[in-house]
Amino acid sequence: MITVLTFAPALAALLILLLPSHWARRVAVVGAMVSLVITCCLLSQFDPRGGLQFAEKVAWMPSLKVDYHVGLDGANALVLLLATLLSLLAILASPGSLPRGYFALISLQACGMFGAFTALNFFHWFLFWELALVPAFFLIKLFGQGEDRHRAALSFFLFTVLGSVAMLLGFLFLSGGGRESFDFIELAARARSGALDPGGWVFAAVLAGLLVKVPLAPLHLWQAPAYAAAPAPVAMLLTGVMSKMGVYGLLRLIIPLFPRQLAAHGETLMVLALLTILWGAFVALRQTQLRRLLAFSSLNHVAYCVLAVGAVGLAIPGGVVDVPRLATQGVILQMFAHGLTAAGLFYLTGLIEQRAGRSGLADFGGLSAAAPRLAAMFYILAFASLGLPFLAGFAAEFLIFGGAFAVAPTLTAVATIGLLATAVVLLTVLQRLFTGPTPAQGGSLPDLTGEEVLLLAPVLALVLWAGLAPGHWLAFSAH
Amino acid sequence: MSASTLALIPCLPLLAALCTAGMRNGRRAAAVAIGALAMSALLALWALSQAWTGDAQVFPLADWLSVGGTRITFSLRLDALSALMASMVTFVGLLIFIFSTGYMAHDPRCARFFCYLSLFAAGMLGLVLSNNLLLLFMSWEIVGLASYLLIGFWFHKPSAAAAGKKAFIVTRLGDLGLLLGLLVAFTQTGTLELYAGGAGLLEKDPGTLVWGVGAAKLVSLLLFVGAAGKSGQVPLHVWLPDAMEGPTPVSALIHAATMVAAGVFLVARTFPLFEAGGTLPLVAWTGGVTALIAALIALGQFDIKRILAYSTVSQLGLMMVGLGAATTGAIGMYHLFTHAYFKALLFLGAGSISHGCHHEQDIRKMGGIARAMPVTTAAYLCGALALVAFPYTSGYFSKDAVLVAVYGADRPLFYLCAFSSLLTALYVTRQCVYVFAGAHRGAHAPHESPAVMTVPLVILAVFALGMGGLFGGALQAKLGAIHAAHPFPVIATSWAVALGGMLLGWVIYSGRDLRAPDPLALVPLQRKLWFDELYAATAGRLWSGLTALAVLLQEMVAALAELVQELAQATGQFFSRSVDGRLIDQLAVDGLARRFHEGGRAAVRFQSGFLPGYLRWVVLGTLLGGLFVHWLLT
Amino acid sequence: MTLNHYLVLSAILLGIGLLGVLTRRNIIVVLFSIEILFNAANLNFIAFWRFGPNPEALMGPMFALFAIAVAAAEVAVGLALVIAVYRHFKTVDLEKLDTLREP
Repeated sequence: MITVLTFAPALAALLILLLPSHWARRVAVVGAMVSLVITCCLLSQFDPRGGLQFAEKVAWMPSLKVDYHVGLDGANALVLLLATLLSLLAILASPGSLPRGYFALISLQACGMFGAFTALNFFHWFLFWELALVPAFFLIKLFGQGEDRHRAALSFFLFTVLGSVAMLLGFLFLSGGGRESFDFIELAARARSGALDPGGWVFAAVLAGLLVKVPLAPLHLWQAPAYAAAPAPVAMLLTGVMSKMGVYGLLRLIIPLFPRQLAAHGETLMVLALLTILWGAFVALRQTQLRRLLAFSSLNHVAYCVLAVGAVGLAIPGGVVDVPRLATQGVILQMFAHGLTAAGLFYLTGLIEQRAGRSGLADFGGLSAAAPRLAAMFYILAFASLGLPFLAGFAAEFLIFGGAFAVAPTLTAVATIGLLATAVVLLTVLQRLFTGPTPAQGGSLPDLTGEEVLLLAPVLALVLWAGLAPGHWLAFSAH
Repeated sequence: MSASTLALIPCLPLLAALCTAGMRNGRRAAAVAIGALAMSALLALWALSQAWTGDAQVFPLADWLSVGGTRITFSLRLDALSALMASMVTFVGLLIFIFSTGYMAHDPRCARFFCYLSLFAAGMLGLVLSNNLLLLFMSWEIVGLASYLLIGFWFHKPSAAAAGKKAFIVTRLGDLGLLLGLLVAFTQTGTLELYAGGAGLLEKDPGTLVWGVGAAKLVSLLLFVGAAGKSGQVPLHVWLPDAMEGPTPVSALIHAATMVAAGVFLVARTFPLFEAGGTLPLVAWTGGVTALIAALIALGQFDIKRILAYSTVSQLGLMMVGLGAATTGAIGMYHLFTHAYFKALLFLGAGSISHGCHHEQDIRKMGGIARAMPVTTAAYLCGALALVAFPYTSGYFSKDAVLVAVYGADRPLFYLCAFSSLLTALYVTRQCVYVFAGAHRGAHAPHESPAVMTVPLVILAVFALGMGGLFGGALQAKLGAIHAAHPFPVIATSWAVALGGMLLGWVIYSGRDLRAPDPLALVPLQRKLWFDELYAATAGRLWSGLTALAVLLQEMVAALAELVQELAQATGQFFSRSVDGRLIDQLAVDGLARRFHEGGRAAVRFQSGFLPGYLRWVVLGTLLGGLFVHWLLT
Repeated sequence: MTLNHYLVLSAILLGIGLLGVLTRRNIIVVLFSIEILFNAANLNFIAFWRFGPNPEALMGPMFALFAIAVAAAEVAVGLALVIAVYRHFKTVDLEKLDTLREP
């Protein structure tokens, strides 16, 4: 089933190229919908205590010990749901007037993302990882906005490819140049028993490859230009799903495979995360363009996950609170929460830009009066993003901070400044965009249509659901 | 009383908020909101009656989340403190809701207003009833959100939007303290429940050390930061006067009864931690300083609501003194209750006055209101007397309790409080003279407000005058106060500062030409002691400095990346031009080919096609061969 | 008349023939020169036979006669070729007949 789920969008991409172009959007929607429906079915049958489930393992290249191995467990269940849902929403958010190449590329990107989230063997995990990257490059370059898009696409591509190369080399060393298995589960088992003891450089290389994708300062330079230049649906995917691929990689690779190195360098990782948290929040304060501002605020939010991963490394068994559990659960929920809210915000931003034809913060004012529904949606998502209780982000941030505080109180205390700064950033956005007198000229903006509200409805529902009853979502990864 | 019934108290207004979110009809929304809150109020009264007679109870509701060995269970606590707070919040809130139907009747977004009000009430009730520090924090944040929305309700006014943002951010600064306190408590004890049959946060000693400080001390300090932010204690009080930008019922709801009381309530709720941590003197002194500073600033203000706002800050300071100086939370809470009624009365009265004066808020442009608005005036004066602590009004009893406690605990602080009480009497008299006496100085003739606005005023006035005397003793006893003797100096001081301050105000302002500059409104007081400027110069600078630093770093890294890119490009160019182009292409590949080509060309010259030429070579070769053979043979 | 006189004469004839072959541009003259070369060789045969150890065996005249016969045939073929060349190229100048040359 997972294979079907993964390749449905790829098949859709193929069909799009074969069928007449006015079918493109519909075919892409069907492809993504198939994936979403399968994911929902799988999750409804998912047994949180069952460990790895729905696994498919086929020998692929026996001489290299490469199997095709996919499966669902606690770490990827939620994030797969996020990826399938957001892919469908992103395709739905794309106007049908776009050429079919666009839909083929975005479907291909979805395939890459689903594959990367379900793969359990480094070999094809890496293939999918790169498969997600290449369409994104073309989507930004060909269908992006602004003169800067070529440069942004190139910088995005270079950064991520360099990271991938580092990771690939690291993994080749880790697996002894192909003599050992590439299987994540087997590697994790060997790491647990102490048989796997890669060197510090291997750890650094794999970590760097993942952190580029997350991204963590100072590897984040590609992010703001790429988010600003990408078409709005692609920006939704970039921030909602692609950045989660890096975090998911931390969960899947760093924590299980490098426990010793993580323990040794957890503090460094936390300091870097802290730096990124403050960096993102404070740089966001100075942005004049809405997309770039949201990109930096995104940088800040995802860095909380890295903070938690560092805390997992520093955890000492037998504390008052179970730090590794708390922190990993926090990371998983934060991925889910941030993916939803950030994607929603980017979608709304795209709508605002498209309607107004402008993107600067100073170009707007008093939108509450002109577009009350848009304002309401934006407010809810913005408050979810700044960690308001009873919305998705809060539980995740509480778990992350709870875990991190237990091992590094001072650092975590400083990191809470990031929460304050995020509040300042987002409230400034709300103030600039939605309050104040409506400008006489160009102030009126059409409100959300029913279709657009419908598209956002699942996002809002999940944001509320995950906020009110996070326990329900955390149950997937409870064991 | 079951858990679900108790949970209905905050849930009913929440439901009302959800229902009214999509409504457009203001009257229907008001009916829904008022109905829900009225039911909450009845339930709260029932809960109060249970708590009054029975023991404190904990009602577990549901697991919010459970991770590993950590379970966060949301539970409610019903004891005298929470039941009293819940009843007060619902009752005062109900009156404010009713008042709002009149005040906001002509606003097109009236329905949305009631949605926010209900959300606020829900958050406040959740906060009050919570037995879990995390649930308390979450409700606390909801209250913050609602106050942000309410203060910025008239979002088309940039000042209102800015005030809402300021309120949210300044209180969130305090909230960070609360969050950190919560995290310390959580990581030290593994639980966030306040009472859990002996295993709760307040029932066991968190003892162990972090950062070399006792955990209880640290937690209570951090919680106090949160409380100070919410309750407008110096230096985090700056948001509160700006919050006057909201509609008047909002000011009443936020300032009088509820939101600002949340901080005081938090200290009272977690009183055992403060006691164990030894942080009470800090609480008391912060309160004392706040009381004095706010009372001073109130003297220099001319906006009727701003005066009341600073008076609120000052009274909140007194509540903190009452908490910090006593051995239980009862005295501070007692002042909180009486204050809630008379300050709600004053704010609603001020709203009624400015409504009658065509939304004029400057007291210099009022005057002669007493004749035009008799009901409002009478009610307002009742509230003013209670605020001044005129003997035998409710304010007198509660303030007296505070003074008694502080007299026994800390003498200098007692003098500080007495002096700020004197100032309170002075500025209240000043305000009343400006507003009610003499002839009207404004452009439009004032008119009395409709009954829907005056009836709540009258009800509140009754409470403002009578509550202290009627329920004071029982209330304090229920909250756990130990009856203390009233030393004569305290009683004398109470009387002296109240009556003396009023007398002084009367002497200064009565018969004066109120159009002339005010003798007491000194520039530093008018400028609010430059707190805003101070913040702009310090925290604001620091903040923008940090921002600039972050941007600088960002640019530096970007420049570095640019440099790397340039370097890569230069290296690439070097390789493409020099190595590839010159060495490999020109020298190695093309060069070799050319050499062969040239060699071939050279060889071609022999093949001239001239047969005798070939023959010559043959002959030459033969001769040379012959010579070679000859040389070989000899 | 000793053997040496014949050999010197033969060498002179060889030199004349060779010089003719190498330097002249007219094909016909080159053919003549070749005939002279043959005759130099024939003279050598006869001379070595006459002054050799066994003059009765008639080895030398036999070779010379053969060579003369072959030379006659050769001249016939050669002249035929020359005529064909002339017909084709309209010249018998060797310097102009350079189709074998590399362009």
